[in-house]
Amino acid sequence: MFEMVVGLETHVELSTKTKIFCSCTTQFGGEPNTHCCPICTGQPGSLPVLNRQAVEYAITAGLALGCRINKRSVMARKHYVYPDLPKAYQISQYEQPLCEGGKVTLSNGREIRITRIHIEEDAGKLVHQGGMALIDYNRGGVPLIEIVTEPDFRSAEEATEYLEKLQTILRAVKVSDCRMQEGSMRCDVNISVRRKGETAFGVRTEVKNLNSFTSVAQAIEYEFERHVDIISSGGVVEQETRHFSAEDGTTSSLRDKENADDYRYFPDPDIIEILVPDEVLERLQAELPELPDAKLRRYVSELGIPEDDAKMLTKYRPVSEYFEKASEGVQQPKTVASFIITQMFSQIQTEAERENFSPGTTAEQLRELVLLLESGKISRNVAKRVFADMLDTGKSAHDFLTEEDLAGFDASQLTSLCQAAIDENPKTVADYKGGKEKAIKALVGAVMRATKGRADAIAVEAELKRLIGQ
Amino acid sequence: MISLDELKKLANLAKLSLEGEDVDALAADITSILEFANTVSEAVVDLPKDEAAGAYNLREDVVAPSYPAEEILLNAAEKLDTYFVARKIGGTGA
Amino acid sequence: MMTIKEIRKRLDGGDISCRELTEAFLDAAKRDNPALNAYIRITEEEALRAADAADARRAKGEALSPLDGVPFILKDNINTKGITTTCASKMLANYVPIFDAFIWEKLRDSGAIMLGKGNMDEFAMGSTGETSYFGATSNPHNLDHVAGGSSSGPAAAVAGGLAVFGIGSDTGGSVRIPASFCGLVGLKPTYGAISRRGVIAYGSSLDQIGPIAVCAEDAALVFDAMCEKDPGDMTSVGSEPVTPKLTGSVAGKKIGMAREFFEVMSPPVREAIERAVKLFEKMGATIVPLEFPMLRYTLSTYYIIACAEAASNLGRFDGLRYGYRAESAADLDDFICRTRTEGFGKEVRRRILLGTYVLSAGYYDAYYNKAQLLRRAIKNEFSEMFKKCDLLLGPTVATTALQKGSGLTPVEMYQTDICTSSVNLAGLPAMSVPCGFDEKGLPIGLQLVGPHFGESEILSAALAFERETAGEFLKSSGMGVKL
Repeated sequence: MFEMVVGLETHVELSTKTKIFCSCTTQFGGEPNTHCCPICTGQPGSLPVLNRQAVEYAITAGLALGCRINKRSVMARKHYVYPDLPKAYQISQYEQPLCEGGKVTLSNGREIRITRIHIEEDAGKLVHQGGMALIDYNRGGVPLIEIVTEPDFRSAEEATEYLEKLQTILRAVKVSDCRMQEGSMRCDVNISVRRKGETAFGVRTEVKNLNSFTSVAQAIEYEFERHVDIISSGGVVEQETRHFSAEDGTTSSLRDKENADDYRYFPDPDIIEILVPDEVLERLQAELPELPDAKLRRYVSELGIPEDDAKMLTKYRPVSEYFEKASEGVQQPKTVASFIITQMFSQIQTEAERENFSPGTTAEQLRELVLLLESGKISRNVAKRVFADMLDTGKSAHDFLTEEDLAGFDASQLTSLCQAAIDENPKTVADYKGGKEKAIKALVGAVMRATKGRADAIAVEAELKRLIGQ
Repeated sequence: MISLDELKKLANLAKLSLEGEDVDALAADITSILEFANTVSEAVVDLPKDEAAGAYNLREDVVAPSYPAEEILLNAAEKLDTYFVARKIGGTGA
Repeated sequence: MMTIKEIRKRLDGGDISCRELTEAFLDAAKRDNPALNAYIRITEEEALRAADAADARRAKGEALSPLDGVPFILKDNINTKGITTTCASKMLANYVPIFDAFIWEKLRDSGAIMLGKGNMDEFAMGSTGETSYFGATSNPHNLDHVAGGSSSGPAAAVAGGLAVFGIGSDTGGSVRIPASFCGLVGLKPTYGAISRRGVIAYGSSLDQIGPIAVCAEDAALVFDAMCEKDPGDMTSVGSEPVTPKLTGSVAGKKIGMAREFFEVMSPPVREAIERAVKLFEKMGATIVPLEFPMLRYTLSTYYIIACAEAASNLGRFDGLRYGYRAESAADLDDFICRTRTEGFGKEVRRRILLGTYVLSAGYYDAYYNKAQLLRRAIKNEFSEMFKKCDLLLGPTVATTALQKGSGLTPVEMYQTDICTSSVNLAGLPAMSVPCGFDEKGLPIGLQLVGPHFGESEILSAALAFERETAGEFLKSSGMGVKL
């Protein structure tokens, strides 16, 4: 009956070494106000000097999200009063942002349009203590991009999927580590509700500064219900900004915000208009790494990797890099993929571990093992066993392969070994002949044991069937 | 004539207090200043779209030493350890 | 009144040591400043230390520049690390900057000796010097009259013999107007020629630092010491030194005179300007009559833009990180409002209100946006004028120095800038050159405006004028140092 109409504004910290307008470090930590200078604390007489890397990361993000880059772009002052903002204005962008008009496509086919991406400076941090706010400007001036979507979302799941995709893409192009928990990615939700079929928009409310996917989903769900309740009972939703409480998943009104802020935007006279040279745009376009979606399609269609596995591999940049390195010169990269997914991923379960994927076993070591398998020198079972040992110890395959293993399996023995197994297990053979398909596996197992796993199980099964069939 | 209400809103935006001010005199001053400023509305100007000079003289992303906290806090009337202090805060900013 | 060259001659000739020179100026300053109120702060220790260092260099023949050992006054909106910088405001009465302005570094590097910080209109907002928290500065030629603003202190100090040159800032005329009122040369460079880093901002797209000096050559030397491009100021372009390009001749030059500038002059100013025009013609220049129809909109355009930028720039003064703090308040918002209302003077508060208004929702288009459009039109009109001439000539101010406490309304006061503010809107270089006196002996200034980076054009013309009039308009006020 009702549908939600949701837009997201996501603030992402860029991975520059210095702040956006000064050369203070962006490194985390440090005692309060020890990563500061006159510029980022707004001392009288200070002037901003724009960080080239911040602009280029923003352009890269725009390119990765399919945006048009505005060669002429303007920095603007956005005025409001709050202690974490030392100049009483934030240098941001208003008209002529760096990027406009991109999109992200979700798994259900919906296209989320990106209205714009602009760069701006972050504010400092307040610590509330008693009746005081303690102000630390260490984070003040860190470069952010703000990514604004059209109100294209129709469910909380779509919103979280979008955020995950954004994370994956921005990490892939290395402009940010996008860690919501650490604050390098924050999300504001704009939501309105209308009856299905209506085209006009309902009254919009905003929930700001959500810092986890769960919070975003909860805030959206809660606000949707709240709007529906109000509208159903004949009321009118009040246009306002609301505060989300992570403890109980509810939103509440920010009563002390009277009217909407009048930001009095105007172009910052201290920063002349940015004119991005063609060479810079061309370079950034050329340097754009393969984006996750394209990578996924390539893994599936060209490398023949099952889609679910491919999704896991492309989700984390270090994993795909590891995979690609381990696949160099390998005939069937999907073999490499299956080793990673089945044996490595089972051991590293947390998001953090997967994001920071850096296993003791190197890509080269895995590649060596797969090449041995592909050359027929070892069998699949041996490879599996050896890989487990490699993962445990970080040593190379050769440390675990015995002469026996490497001797391979003499295929001429296949027939006699299979016949022996058939002879030794008449009941199993009878079961199989009687229709129990699975019984063949017991016979395969017997042969594999006899060959200490060196035989190729598929060939064994085929030979057994052939012999039984005779 | 700028109304008292408008003047109050303006003062609040500008973070100035009207307490103790001769509000009528101030309103008269502001009104005459606005009338003077408003002469720009009489000008009829027809210019093509602005092709302002832009540039790409940006700073390299190289860390330079920050200022010691003592200097940053040198002129702060109130501090706690190396924090600035603001008392009795309300609201949550923009 | 001694020029930089004359001072250097005496220093280099061993006639006087830098220490003696500096002490003489310091003594004069301490004696005469109470009458003038040109200095907010005399930095005696710093000055003597610098003087001793200059003497040590002289002994080895290692002068750093033509300014080495020459004492000057620095307007108090220019950051001097470790030395209180007030902007003549209660808000910053005890503010100690933690970094140096770029130009202060350059002047130190040149070996010049700073005697102290100059009085000014509060936050550079004013045309007479009367809005200073520390009281108005008097005109050395007549103590009942103002020195002009907003660089009132530097102008009065130089005219009063308490400094050899001064450094001011000019947003709508604040170097040229006091220079005109005090009978000195005042140069406002092309926007971007001199770095604004460390200059406490008023109108960011208009502000420029400029020298106030006794003659054109001195202004050129001081400009040259400061005109390096500064990567710490994105609007800084820098300039080549102008001294090597000075010609001292206007032969063959076309000097444009916009009719509209002349419609506003008082009789003594008109007389002096007309006489100056004849002299320029005698020197071989051709006068080209021009039209400047946009002039009537320049004041309102200027005040809208300057106040918008000022309101924005002054938002940071809330008592939390530096500056004046209200004693008591109900909550944070109240604290900030009280701090600002108590810390800022009336004129500053008015301009903040105006600036806030013209940027606010519903008014931005009609005021700020319109003003920016008119600004482009004004720039275009100047460009058109410079197609027909090499430089422009007119009065700097329509009158001579106003009497103190003239009781003008704010809008009447703004009219002082009618001849000067259009130049800042266009970012062009301009200077005031003394060209006469009124019946009270108060100086009159003519203004020369040049094309972009045409400092050498206007300084050359000024130099020619000075030579032609052989120091007729360089009148000592009778105060200050007697060497």
